[in-house]
Amino acid sequence: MPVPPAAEIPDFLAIGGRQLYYVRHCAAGRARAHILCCPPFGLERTLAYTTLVRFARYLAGHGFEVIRFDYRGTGESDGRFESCGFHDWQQDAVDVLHGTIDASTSKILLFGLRFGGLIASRLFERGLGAGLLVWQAPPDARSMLLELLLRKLAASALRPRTAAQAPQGRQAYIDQWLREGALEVDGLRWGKALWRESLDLRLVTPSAADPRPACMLQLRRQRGRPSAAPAGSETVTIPYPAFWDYGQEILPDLQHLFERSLRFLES
Amino acid sequence: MRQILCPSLAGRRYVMTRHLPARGGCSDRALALFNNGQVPRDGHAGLAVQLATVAARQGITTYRIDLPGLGDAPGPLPVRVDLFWQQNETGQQAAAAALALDYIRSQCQHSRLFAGGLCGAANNALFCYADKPELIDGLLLIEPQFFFTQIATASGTSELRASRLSASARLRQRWSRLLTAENRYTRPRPRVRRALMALAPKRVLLGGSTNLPLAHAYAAACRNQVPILCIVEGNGRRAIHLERIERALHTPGAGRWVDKTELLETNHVLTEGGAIEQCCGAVADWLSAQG
Repeated sequence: MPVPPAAEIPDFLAIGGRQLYYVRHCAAGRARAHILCCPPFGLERTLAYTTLVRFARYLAGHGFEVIRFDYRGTGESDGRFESCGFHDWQQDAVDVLHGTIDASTSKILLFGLRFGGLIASRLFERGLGAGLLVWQAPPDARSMLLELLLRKLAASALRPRTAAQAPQGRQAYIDQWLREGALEVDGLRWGKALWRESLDLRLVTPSAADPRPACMLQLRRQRGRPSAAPAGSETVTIPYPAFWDYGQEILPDLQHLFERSLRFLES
Repeated sequence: MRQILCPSLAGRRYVMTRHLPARGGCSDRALALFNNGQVPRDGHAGLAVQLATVAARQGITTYRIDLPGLGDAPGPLPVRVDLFWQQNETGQQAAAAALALDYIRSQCQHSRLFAGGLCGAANNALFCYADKPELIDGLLLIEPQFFFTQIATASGTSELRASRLSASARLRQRWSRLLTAENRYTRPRPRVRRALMALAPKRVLLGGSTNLPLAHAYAAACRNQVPILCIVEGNGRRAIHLERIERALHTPGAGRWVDKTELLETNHVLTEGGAIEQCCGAVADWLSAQG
């Protein structure tokens, strides 16, 4: 059945002189719950954007009101990326949640992709949200940064450069970053705060005693058409390369992922 | 100060971010930036946001636009990237882009409007200029793509065909690649490639994968003395195509209205070598020179 179109309202949330951008995807009919969507980091946010918009529309079409937003210094929100850290972005998620959703009248669910999963899990740990859905989160922010540095190294190695400019290794980047106070990765200037705060931001798996439902989906990349995972599986196949990476598809086939996620959110 | 605009134009919804100058209110001049290809309107690493901030600081109201289907704007999109680029390179997105420019013109009665952006955005601005020159008073072309990527991605097939070519045809092809700096020896050597390009006939310079309608739109804008800022990756494929087109299509003095900046040690989306900062600097200088 085709999903009915729902209203989408982009706006800014004014907080302490800052403008935080968010888009409200209104539910078709009365909202069953509100979902706060925490986006991924850096280039992954840019490349996954279309998919996250599609997912928000899919959920809105199934009766959920979805709030997407941009952390300060990224996307449409104002601020300088270089002067932001993980604590700031965690605070932004909290501010958007409180500023856009009336918690007293609505059930709130948290959703995050990759880095957004780390943020969502931290909010969940603080008692926010009645449920948590995470797609392919790294174990912590430090691992994510190291992974991105490895990609920078690989990209750099493929480019013709003089011997003096050739990268020496990932550690050389880290040394440069800490020495100079900033490092350019995927066009963004990473400030020192990112390195300092990266060990604090870990994926928090809810304890067994926590009665609130949580679903941490692992996304296995597979060439060709993805297959459906058995019911209850925490692994879903998606087309290769992943939608947060450069690929040949703008609208990859993510039906299984969307359906599996919807099943969890409906439950 | 940023504002969100969501106009419905010809039955389709656009989403725009407007950056107002610090002194408030709309300005006489405006800048419109389209999507960099299929990415949302902030661009790779926020390039478009930084350009808009720079322009607003200069007192120029700037609009960053999500065309229908892209970013936050609803609408159909091709499933595959190559189909998206086919639409962009053949000017099929220009009508939607021109509607946005028309709308911006009507906002606050801007008397001069500059348009452009990176790659696909530059292509859209050029196609808009070709269709409706009265809409645009200046072009900001960052890494404009004067060639068809479709042919480039089908190079595997071309190579197969090349193996069946006669020896003389193969030799001709090699000379063409040498003269047009498509070959690996001439491309990174500007002086050599310029000397060789001077020997190449026009049909060779405009041959291969060149996007002729786009090349002619650029040449027409130059002839009509439209102020243009071209920012390209130094020795990159787009920089070389730009050289080829200028050599083949420019009439004497046509380049006088074109300012050019080459950014070295970067990539096509300017996310390396501090290129975004340099790009913003070049745009700031150019905008202030447009008085």
